[in-house]
Amino acid sequence: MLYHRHMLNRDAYVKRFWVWMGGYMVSILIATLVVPDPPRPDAVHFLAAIVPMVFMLLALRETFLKVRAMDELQRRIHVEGLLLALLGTIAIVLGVGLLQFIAGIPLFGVFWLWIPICALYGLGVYLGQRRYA
Amino acid sequence: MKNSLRVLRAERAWSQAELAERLGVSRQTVNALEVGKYDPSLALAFKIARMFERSIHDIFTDQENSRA
Repeated sequence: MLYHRHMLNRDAYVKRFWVWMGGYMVSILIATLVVPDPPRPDAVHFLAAIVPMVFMLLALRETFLKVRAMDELQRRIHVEGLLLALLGTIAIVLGVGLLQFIAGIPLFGVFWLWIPICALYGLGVYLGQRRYA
Repeated sequence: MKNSLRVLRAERAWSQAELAERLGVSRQTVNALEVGKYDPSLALAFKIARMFERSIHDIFTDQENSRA
């Protein structure tokens, strides 16, 4: 059976992604259970905050490499999905910013932006897959 | 851009999945090429031409020129 190396690699990217995400979740769990409250700017708390981000960066790297290994149509679909996520998030940030400063709605943390980014990326990929189906 | 990919594939009795594997692309890409929803890059067009031992012009036709 014909099987190209890059197709095998795509599966390897997914496996490695979940290994790094597992490391991320375990390191967060350790950080919340082992590191004592309250938050302090000392070395232990700093390390507890940084270690999960190392795993997250490794997982994001696998996502980047997976998209690069895709064929040209799949890559176009994912890049257009990312463009929708970027533009949509800009619209959300500007819209919510105006609501906060003009209408006085409560402030929310930048942390929560990952939700619209991922949702819009997923929507963009879904629309792209339908377009070229 | 029109193409004769479906005819060439049928002549060799290849499935879309088989052609996709030979080209190193997904089956969805082969289908999108065949129905004219997606125009390939020059590199992929050359790869297709080499695979079917034809020139790019034999396989792909510019619709603007064919109307003229």
